[in-house]
Amino acid sequence: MARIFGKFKALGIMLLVVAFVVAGCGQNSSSSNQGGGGSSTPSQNTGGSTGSTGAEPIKIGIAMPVTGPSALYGNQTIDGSKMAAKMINEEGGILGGRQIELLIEDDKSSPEEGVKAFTKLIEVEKVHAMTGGANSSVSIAAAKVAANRILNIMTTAKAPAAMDDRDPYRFRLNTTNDMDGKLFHAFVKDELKPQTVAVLVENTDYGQAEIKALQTNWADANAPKIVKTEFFELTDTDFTNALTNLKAANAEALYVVGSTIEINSAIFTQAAQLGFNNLKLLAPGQLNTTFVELAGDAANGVISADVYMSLIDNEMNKVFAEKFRNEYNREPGKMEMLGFEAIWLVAKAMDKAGSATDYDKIAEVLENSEWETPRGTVTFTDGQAHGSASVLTVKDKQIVPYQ
Amino acid sequence: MSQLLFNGLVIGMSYALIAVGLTIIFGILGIVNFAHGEFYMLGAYALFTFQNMIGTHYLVGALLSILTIAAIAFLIEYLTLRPLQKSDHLNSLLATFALSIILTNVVQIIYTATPRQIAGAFNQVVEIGGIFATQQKLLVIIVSALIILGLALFMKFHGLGKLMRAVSQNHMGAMVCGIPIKRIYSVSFVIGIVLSATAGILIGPTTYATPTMGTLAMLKGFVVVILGGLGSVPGAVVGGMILGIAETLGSSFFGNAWKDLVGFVLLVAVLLIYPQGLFGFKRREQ
Repeated sequence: MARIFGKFKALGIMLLVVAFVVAGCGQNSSSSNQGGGGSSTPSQNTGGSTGSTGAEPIKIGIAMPVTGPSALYGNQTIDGSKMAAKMINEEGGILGGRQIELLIEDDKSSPEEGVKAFTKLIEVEKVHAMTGGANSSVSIAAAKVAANRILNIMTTAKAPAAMDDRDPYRFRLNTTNDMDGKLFHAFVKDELKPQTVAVLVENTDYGQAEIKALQTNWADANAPKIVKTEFFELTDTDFTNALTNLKAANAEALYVVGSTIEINSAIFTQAAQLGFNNLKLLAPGQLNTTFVELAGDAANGVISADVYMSLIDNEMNKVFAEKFRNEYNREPGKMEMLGFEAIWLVAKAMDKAGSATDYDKIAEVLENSEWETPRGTVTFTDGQAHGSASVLTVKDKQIVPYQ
Repeated sequence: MSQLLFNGLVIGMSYALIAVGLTIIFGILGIVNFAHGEFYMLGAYALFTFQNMIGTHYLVGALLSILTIAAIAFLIEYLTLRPLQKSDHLNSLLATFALSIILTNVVQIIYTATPRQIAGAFNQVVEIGGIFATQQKLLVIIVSALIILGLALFMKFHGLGKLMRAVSQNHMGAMVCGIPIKRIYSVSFVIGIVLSATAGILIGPTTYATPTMGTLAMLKGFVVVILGGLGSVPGAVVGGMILGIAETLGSSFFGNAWKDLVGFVLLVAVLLIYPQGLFGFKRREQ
């Protein structure tokens, strides 16, 4: 009798250990999903109150990495979104005085958490539209939850695959690797002309997409030759091995493809420490003021391209940049602009369509109108946003247009 | 090639530090410390707090971090592990597992999961015969070597070190001889944890800190300890160097993406072919 009991005890302990392992294996899994607030409600709510006009607020969901490796980008984007909600609510809201209310969930840059965030916002919080998705892998997974049921504006995901099997309510604001590539890869090929390039790329959908874009755009005979490619994981902190291997390939240029500010700055810092003194290229869309701050001197001379910087000269940007500076005490970057665009476009499209829930109408309005945003004029083709872009570089720790 | 060996040496030394700590805790307390990697992470975060948030110099920050973590380790041993010493070893194992989860999440709540840069004071690049090294990396090698040497001398010649060795060889016998076992446990645990934290303090400035950085460090620590033999300090040192260099060479041949695989393949190979490890010995039943 005692022996049988002993066996059950052992089995019980085994199951307990397995349960611990399963629970503990999801990295960051048991942390709270709030960005900072101490209230008891699980999602972060910001935006107008329901009391003032008595009209029901328009709830827009944001699923972004509030914590995790892409948290810096995620929070920058959220700041832009908050700015948009604020500006719209100050103007009086949309659809007859309805205020915009933002509900934010943390996707922690993990596809599983992204799906959870989307599901919660759509099914529990019953938002009118979804925005968000910083990492392509997360966006791709989460889009399946939103497909054919709710407006889904993919805010910063870049991989082309995010628009595969597109449902009519899915739109994407950021440029794809192909689109960036058209400008930047052509520029490197025609203007900078390095004979050989070594590539250090993150092992994700985004990274793989960038490799494909490079191979397509540099396919002809007088394009730079990619002599070595090394991959890294988003959880890596030390790139010395990969960089040593790349240095041994003796290429004229180093092309870095990373979606995390800390990783990109660590890579260029560690590369400088290893004695790299070749052309420094950073995948388009990744040049960011925080990157320059963290990388310090190692950032000088890095060349990249992007669709937005805070000094762009147009009416809307002057207003947006000024208000942003006053509110947050820093220059708005591309991420902030995209976050702003997501909420702004959703709200304006709903207003123009005259409804917050007729997604067929809203999607049609989005697709067929011309929109003015801080980056200039934006139009959509099959859900993909199109604007303009420029080549940038870092000089004396400032991001400036490349001359 | 020499650059690769140097890289491997730096990594190897940090693995050795972590593994020596792990093996001391196992050899003397008989506890498999699942939270070992978390103390490596705590070391980096403590340094971040003192150096980057409060603003002390790296060396002062390092010293304060070590003292803080030694105090935390002492408290943990006294409050949670000592009461469990009398019961099944499985309880201590679960306790350290719980500790690792608690520590990771506490740090994440306080510091958030956003990576933290911990640039040290020694960032100058030095070129020695074609090898590029930062001063911090040289510091890792020199300080680790000094610590290991110091520990070896301590274990061999100092009274307390000899007592520790006695306990690791035979618990029962040591108690019968009147050795103050509880004090030895305390000291050993603190030493083991401080070694791990020191690795974090040394390596932290070469990169940045995240709350989950301890997981991989602990796994590598286990690989090294098994490679070198559970409970054997020389084994941990040699094992650490072997793993560090094997990983670096492996990443050069197979690509960086396969780097971590090298360690785990080595682990499986060792367990299959020579389970007691290079310097290991069969433990007597307690």
